[in-house]
Amino acid sequence: MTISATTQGIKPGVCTSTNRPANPFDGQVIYMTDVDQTAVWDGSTWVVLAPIAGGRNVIINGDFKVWQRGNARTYMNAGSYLADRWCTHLYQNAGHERVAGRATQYAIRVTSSSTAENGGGTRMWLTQKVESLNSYRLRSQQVTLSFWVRFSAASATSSTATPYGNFTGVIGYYTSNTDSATGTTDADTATSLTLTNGSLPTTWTKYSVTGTCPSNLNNIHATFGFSGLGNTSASSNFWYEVAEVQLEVGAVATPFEFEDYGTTLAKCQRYYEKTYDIGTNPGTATYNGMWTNGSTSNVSNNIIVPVRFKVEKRASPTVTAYRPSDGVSGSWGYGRSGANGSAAATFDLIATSGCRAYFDCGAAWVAAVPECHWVASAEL
Amino acid sequence: MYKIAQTLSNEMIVRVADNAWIPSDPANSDYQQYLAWVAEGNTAEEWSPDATV
Repeated sequence: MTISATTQGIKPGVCTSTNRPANPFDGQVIYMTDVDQTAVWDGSTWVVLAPIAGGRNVIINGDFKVWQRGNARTYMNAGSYLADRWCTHLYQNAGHERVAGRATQYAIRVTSSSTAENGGGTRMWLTQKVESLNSYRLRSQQVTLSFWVRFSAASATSSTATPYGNFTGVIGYYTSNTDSATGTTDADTATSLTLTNGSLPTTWTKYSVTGTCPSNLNNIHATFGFSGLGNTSASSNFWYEVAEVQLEVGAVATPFEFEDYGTTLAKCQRYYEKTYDIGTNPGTATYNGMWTNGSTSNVSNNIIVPVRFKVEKRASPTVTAYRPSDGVSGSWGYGRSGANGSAAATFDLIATSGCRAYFDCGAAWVAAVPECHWVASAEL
Repeated sequence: MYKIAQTLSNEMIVRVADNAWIPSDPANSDYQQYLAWVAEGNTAEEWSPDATV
């Protein structure tokens, strides 16, 4: 039997949407790199397939749809979070904000900013650190980080003498530290992808990089940013945007794994949650969503507030109180027989499931109605 | 800057900048940062509820 090279036989499985096999066979599967889709030939047309098995993506909120802390541009210190699970990396301040995405609804924009904000400069790093319980399964495995990125200009320039250097997408491997220490130390080893400054893409482009995890891996992170310090003279005059970040086992970057909003939110709440509505920033003056009940103060004038978390936390979290009437941190309001007021909130017995809180309403054994907002953070 | 609060049951750390309450959990990254602050030679003062309200 003679098989024609152009009309029969096995065709390449990787192509673009405009360069698909001309004579496919029934059941042939292709992956189109430009649209990030997999399709099967059903005998008459290409049918786009649903993404392959779920649970592949180690990254949480890789499509930047959950922003419990707010989504307006905020210039943050190293280690601070705005989009859920994404923070500025060690020593690197940066402005983060939510913007329109590519195939997904949202992306994150990372900006340089004014000299005054930057201080000594910034590499504009963005990172997600994966907790150890979700990293151990990657030990000795090949992993691939994929992401879409675009830049405001092909060149990242600086008003100072120090250039930004090249842009990197990094898989970082922690072996000597675990979880919380990832906030104060950098990864022990890393695998990087470099995009040359001067040739940065200004339209959405997908990149991937593959590495092998050490056998003693404790934590893994995905990090983006420049290799050198930069510093610009005007706010937001240079930026990059990242969307659809995926870190998965294997040497192939499969299509981004879409996840329903509720699932992603619950995953994020393992690390951070609040009493406020999802669209209300912590510290906002509002009674909506606050914790309250009919209480009685004890012999020490304290109203006891039982704090239960919506989702069990990664570790005993840091907890912050907010007063609903004006959004001020550290205190709660109350109404009781004979007086209304506010007092400093005290938290103790903090555990991964909840904690106790109390505050002084100025009288013992009186009926009282507490007004409480709080946030709990167990980020890495 | 941090302060130490003696609560009804245990000792807690209060981060002054945002009045956040930090448990003494080694897995808490804020506690790690507090330990680093102490290691630099700093000492936390006693927390008072009057200073917060």
